[in-house]
Amino acid sequence: MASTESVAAATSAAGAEAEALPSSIDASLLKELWHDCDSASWGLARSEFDRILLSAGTAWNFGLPERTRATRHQQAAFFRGLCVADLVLAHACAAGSENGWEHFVPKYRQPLIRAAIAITGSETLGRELADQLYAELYGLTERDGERRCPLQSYRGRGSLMGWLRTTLAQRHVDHYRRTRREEPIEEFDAPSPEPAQQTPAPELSQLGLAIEAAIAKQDTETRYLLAAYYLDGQTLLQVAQVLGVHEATVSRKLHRATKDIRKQVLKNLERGGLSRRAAGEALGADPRDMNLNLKKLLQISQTVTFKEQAEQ
Amino acid sequence: MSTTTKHEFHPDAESLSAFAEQALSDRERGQVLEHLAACGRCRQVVALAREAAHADLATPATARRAAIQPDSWWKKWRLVWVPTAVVAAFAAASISVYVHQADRSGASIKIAEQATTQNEPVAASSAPPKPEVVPPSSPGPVAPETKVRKPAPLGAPPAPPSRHVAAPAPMPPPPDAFVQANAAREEPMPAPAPEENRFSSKRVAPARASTVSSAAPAAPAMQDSQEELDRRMRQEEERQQARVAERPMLPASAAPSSAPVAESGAPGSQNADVSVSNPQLVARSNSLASFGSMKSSHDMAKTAAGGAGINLPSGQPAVSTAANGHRMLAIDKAGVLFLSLDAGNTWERVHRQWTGRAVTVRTHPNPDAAAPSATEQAGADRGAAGQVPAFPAFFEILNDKDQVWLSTDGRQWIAN
Repeated sequence: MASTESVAAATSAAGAEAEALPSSIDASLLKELWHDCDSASWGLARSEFDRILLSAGTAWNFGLPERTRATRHQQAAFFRGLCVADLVLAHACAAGSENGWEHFVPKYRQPLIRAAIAITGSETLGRELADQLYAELYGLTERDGERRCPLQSYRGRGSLMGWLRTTLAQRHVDHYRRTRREEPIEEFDAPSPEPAQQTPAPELSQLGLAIEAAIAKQDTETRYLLAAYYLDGQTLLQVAQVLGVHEATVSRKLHRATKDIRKQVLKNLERGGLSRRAAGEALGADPRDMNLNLKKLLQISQTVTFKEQAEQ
Repeated sequence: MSTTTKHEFHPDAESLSAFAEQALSDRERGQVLEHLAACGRCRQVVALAREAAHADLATPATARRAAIQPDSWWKKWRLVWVPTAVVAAFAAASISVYVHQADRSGASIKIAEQATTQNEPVAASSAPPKPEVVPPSSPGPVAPETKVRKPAPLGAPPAPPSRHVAAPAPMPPPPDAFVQANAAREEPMPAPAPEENRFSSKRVAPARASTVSSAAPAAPAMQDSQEELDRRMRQEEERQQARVAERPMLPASAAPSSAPVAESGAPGSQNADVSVSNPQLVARSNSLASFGSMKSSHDMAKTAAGGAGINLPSGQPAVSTAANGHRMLAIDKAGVLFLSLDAGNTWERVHRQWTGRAVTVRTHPNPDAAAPSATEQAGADRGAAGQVPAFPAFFEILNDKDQVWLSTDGRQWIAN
């Protein structure tokens, strides 16, 4: 899993940053959180607890944009928004605390298996996936002679169970994508000779350009809705659950988006020199005649933010 | 974002998890959403994690429901509601039927009461006042002196036709009630003397009273319903008897009324007790009495004609019966005549005084009964008592050769 590669480095950097900014943290808040999450029962020292919290705050920059210094109030709001108990438990387990594991196993073992079964759709595959992750969590894997535990990358923004589910889903999707490429082609048919490359009609090429421009103008949420609904084939309910809105809202937004895109395409076609009637006729063209990849179109605006962050 | 993949530039698991749990700030959420709009892999990860969360939530909920439902009180009591509902429906139906019947009976009682109240004023206004029987001043078979309290002034117009007089009262009660009433009345009165009062137009009233009083000591729980039943039965009987009685009473109404009371009574004695000494009035009252007795005996004869319920000492069924008041005669199959003085309770054999075989016994009104009575009354006034009590009706026997023998008391027979 690539997402956990820089966990150790980030943790050490956060630890150094926390040590560098000891005076900016409200000590009374840390003390209050320490008592609330009952960290002592997992065998964590108070200094270790402070270090974990400071590391999480620094890694997320207290939920603020880069290079923005958080005030005490913002820090307090960020810390209060964390799942501190889960964070402490995860780090206690990562540190090898027996008490932590005694608490972790009965609480998360069975839900982990159920989640894996639900993700894979198969009990065998699910148990296998869960066992694999469980072994990793237990720290059986070593890298560069060092025991690695994915729980160290957990920073407490969401719940520990949600993090475990997402990790399972990531591994399952990655495994699927990786193994799908390795699947043998069972029935090999001789490919038919490709038809001669036909030059698309100027109206159709103009229509393709107009559609690209219209989709590129849509905002992030609309593009996500279009991709999840039309490309991934998710239901309105699934999309609504991810976005945290009612499915009727998703339906209304989708309807509005398609209507807006159609209007934009017509406008783009008219700008391209077509009359209103010709633009309307061009919209009635058979999509199969068009050389247009909507998946590519929707993924045109590649995530610059993550790319930039990765490059940094 | 803290941790992203260097090679594929995906947000880490925690970012996606926090995004799905709505735990990110708007800025962070927008960043993740922008990535999700372009990344099919991360959309799939988020969707799968979300599905797993729902499956995990649904499983304990289902298990909880399965654990709770068998112990739920509603499931335990669900089957009990079926018979309860049936019983409730049956009870409701019974109550509605009872109420409906009570309404109907109440309505019929109201109708009967209305009919009674419609009749009663007529009787009160037109019926002759109830004669007060004064004990006879002189012993003997003389008819008792009757005092009539006259409500109307003497100068008032004459009483309406006798149909109105007889209409409300003279219907005979049903046989049982009649027997009971007569039996109750038989004891305190000497046999011949109260004949004319017994068969007067007010004769039914004591019978009614006896009927009601016989029904009165019923069980308290059933008292209301029995009273209602008795009342309804009485109303029905009265209506039927009124219909039957109107026909025989028509001749009485057609009969010319004798001198008005005002003329016969002491002149100028308004609202005073009038000693009825007018022979015409006495004759009229006697004729009314005899007519009533004739009718009642005729009905009795008709009632007993079948001979049902008559146990003769011979053990044979009665082929013909006749009654005059409580005096009854019956001929059994062998032609033997039996006499009863107590309306058929006890019988005594009558010695044969006729020829042939008695076939039929019947009563006939005595046309001379009024005159002798009036004569007797006059004789009583004069101080000379009459020799023989006048019977309002006499018996006659027909033998198998259609010969007739007559008797007034049922014991002594003479050939016609």
